[in-house]
Amino acid sequence: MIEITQLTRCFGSTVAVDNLTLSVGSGEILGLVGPNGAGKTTTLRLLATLLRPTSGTALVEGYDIVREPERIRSIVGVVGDNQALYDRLTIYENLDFIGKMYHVPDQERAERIEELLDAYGLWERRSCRVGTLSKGLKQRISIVRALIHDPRVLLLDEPTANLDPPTSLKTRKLLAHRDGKAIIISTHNLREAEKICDTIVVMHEGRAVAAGAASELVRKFGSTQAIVIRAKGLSPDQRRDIEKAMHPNDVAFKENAIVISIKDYDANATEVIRKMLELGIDVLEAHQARPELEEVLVKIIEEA
Amino acid sequence: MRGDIITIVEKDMREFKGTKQIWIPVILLPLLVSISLPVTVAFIPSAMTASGAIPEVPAGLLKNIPDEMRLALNSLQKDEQLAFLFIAYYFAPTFLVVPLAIPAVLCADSFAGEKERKTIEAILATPISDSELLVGKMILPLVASLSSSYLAFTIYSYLTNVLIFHRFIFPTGSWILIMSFLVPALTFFSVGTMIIISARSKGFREAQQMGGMIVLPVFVLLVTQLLGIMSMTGQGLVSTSIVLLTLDVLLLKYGSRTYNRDHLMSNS
Repeated sequence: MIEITQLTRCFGSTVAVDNLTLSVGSGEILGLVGPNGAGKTTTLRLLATLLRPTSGTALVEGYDIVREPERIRSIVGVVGDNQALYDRLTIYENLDFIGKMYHVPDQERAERIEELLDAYGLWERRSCRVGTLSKGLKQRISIVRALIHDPRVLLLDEPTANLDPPTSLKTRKLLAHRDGKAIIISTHNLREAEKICDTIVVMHEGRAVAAGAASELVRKFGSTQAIVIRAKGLSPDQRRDIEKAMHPNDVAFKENAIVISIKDYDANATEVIRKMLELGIDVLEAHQARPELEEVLVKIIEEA
Repeated sequence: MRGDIITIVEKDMREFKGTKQIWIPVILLPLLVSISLPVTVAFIPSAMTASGAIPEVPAGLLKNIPDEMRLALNSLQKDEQLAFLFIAYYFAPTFLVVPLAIPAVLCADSFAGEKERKTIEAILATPISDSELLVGKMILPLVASLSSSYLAFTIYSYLTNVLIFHRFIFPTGSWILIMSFLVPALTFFSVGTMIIISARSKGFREAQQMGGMIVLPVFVLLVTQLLGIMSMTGQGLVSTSIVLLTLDVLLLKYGSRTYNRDHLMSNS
């Protein structure tokens, strides 16, 4: 469990994190999204006790980030914004070193390294020097390293950056298991955030400017919503009738589909479908076309 | 925890083993100093005269030497005096480059190099405390430097006794003081200075360039010795060592304040 209260961090006159308050429960995944320089990485570094706050507090599993940093570090797994691996050491040596630093007992450490490397398809390459590997493989190792001590809290900065689609999927599945862990992910990949995060916090200039589930954010901040109606053959007359019945600017035709913009989807969707049926349109299917989270994010930041 | 410190030392050793540009100077420098100086003294002076006879000590070189050295020279044969003067007195500051330069190379890689390669973040995320991390990072440069210095001293003494004097004449009392007090004090001075330099520099090269200035005390010693301002014997050595050790404590105190997580992450 993570509780952040009015957390602030300044670097000289720059306020990197500004009065941030949020919480993440056990088994919950929170996504931090926002443009570069929004304060996402600094927030993760503050929680990992790599930086000290200028003001405010944060508790990680009940431990204070200022007073009990060593306790926090022992229960937190971190994937940083760079891979931070020792190029001159082998994959196994890198993981063994960090496992030792987290005081994972010898036998357990060896088993855990084998299990995780195997899961990420790296066991056969365990004796390779890290410096010889691609960015994607290094990213896999840095994820494995964050999991080596089976942490109760995970702080992940762009964990799937540089990963190929199958490994990204594997990582998402792994995170989706949660196992009671509180997880914070900083990401630019909004589709990923939408898929795995229970809550998304939009950060801008160090502040949390919006928070909620992806669907909530879209509903709240999405300016237009639309209904897509797939019809069986649309004649020119039918198209004209539709345009007459609706506001022409709100209607668009795509092959056999009609896309109609509506203000409040839940209140007006049924009425639109009824109108189509009255006009003699053979409706095959209707579904909501939501604005992309990306579009919503841009709007939130512009308004902030 | 002691285990964490040992783990860091083991990791650093593994990294150094795989990096030629680090371990080659660490091995070459002490060998160069310990072999080239006695070999030069053994062969060059006789080659300088037409008869092959070893020249006498020029009066200018004797002008500023301390009484302790003058007495030692008087107890030797004429053809041994010049060699003894250089081996036991004038080469002492040159020898001190070893305990100063080796920690500078190792610390630049260990502290600033980790910052530059961003690998420091992985260690900082583990439960180790700032002070344990600092101690862990200091041990290898200290041990490597002291071992190199004592190994170089052993070779230097052996070659001096076997090649030049053909009997046991070296080390002198002053050299025992140098090795017991001045060398450890200079090693700590080098490490302490490099911690501060590394915490402020962005990378290995910058730290190494700034660390190059660390050999300045050697030139100060050399010049003050030549001018007779300070002598590398008895009391002078002990007082220099005490001043340096005091400076070491201050440097390490200040260094440990700058070498903390927040400072390292804010400046990386």
